[in-house]
Amino acid sequence: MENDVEVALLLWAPLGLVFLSLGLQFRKDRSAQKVGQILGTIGLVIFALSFMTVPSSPSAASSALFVSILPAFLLMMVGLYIALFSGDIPVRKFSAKFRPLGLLMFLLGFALFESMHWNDASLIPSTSWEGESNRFWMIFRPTFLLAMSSFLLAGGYFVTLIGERINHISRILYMTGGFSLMLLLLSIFIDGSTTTADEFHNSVLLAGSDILGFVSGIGLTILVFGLTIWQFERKRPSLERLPPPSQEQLERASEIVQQNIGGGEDE
Amino acid sequence: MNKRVQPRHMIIAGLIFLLPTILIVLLKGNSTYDTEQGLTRFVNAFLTSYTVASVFLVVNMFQYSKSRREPSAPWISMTYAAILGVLATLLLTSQGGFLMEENGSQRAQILYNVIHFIVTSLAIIIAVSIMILLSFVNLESKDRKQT
Repeated sequence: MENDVEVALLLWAPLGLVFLSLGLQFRKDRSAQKVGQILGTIGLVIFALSFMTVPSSPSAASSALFVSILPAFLLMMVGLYIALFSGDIPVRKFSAKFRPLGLLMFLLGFALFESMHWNDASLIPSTSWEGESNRFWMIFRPTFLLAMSSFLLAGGYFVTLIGERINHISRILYMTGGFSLMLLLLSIFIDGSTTTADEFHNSVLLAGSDILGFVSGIGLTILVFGLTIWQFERKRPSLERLPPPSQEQLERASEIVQQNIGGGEDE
Repeated sequence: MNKRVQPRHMIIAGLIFLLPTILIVLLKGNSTYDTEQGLTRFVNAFLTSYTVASVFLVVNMFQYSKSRREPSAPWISMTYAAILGVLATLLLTSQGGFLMEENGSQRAQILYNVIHFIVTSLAIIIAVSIMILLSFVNLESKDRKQT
């Protein structure tokens, strides 16, 4: 009973704070957003420590996973952020010299994440929990690689449809998605440091079930709430008809559109 | 959406989305796949994501009801979501108690489902974020492209 209270206070309550913080970010009130950020940070730190404070709880394995993947994903995200804001864009924040550094950080982060599966060296964050492979790692890695290959390959296809000027993006998405798929295929044929190829193969197919369930659940929710909103919106009186715009108004609108939109013939 | 994107493009994109899973099954078969566990994982993922997303959208419906002056909107949406949720649960669990994974009690299973949902969501959100960031990182300036 005492342990249950400890787990509730040191693992579940902090997780609740993180969700509360996310909810507060949708409020217009700036001070509420700030309070949310503080609460979210506190919650995240206490949750991240829960694998040490309440190691007896089976859910503490998720906290261990969070801590072990954090360095790899921080490197990847910070790297992409630097590469994005050092590019040839109007809102540039960093010098163009930092762009290769950002891309290198992304690659290093990805390499670190992958080495956690293939190598059990003491310097690399561990994927083990209580002497065996962390059960949440066996959910996270297959889901991440499968989602990455599926979304990037499908995204690459969509990008080619949108415009000719962004074919380069499409190639990058295909390449990264293909690389992710190759890692997935390697993992189902070659044993990792703590898991066999067969175990991983089963995990990938189970991850497929997870993604399908996840997408179907969220899809059904959107459908139900969309229908409810449609029910209310269709009952509303239609807008009053306005007189057609005058020549002067049309010219003014045309000026504003010209000022704000540029582009070639394909756009 | 661009006028060049037609329904057949959506179907092709869906097939490309499923391509990695299809390739994995074709290359190694599904001999090691535990079908019952897969079904359990699907149902648990479905019910958990449905519940969490419904709670999130019900909270947003209060905001909608305020801005559109429709005080009954949250309650009606809540009723629809609850009825559909109960029906889906009954339909999916009518085969027997297959919602239990390797957990000792129902409470443990529910808590495990929440953590499982967070881990899966995190993996999907990071994958989608990488896709978006990679796309923007590789956007080329129009001027540079023309030269």
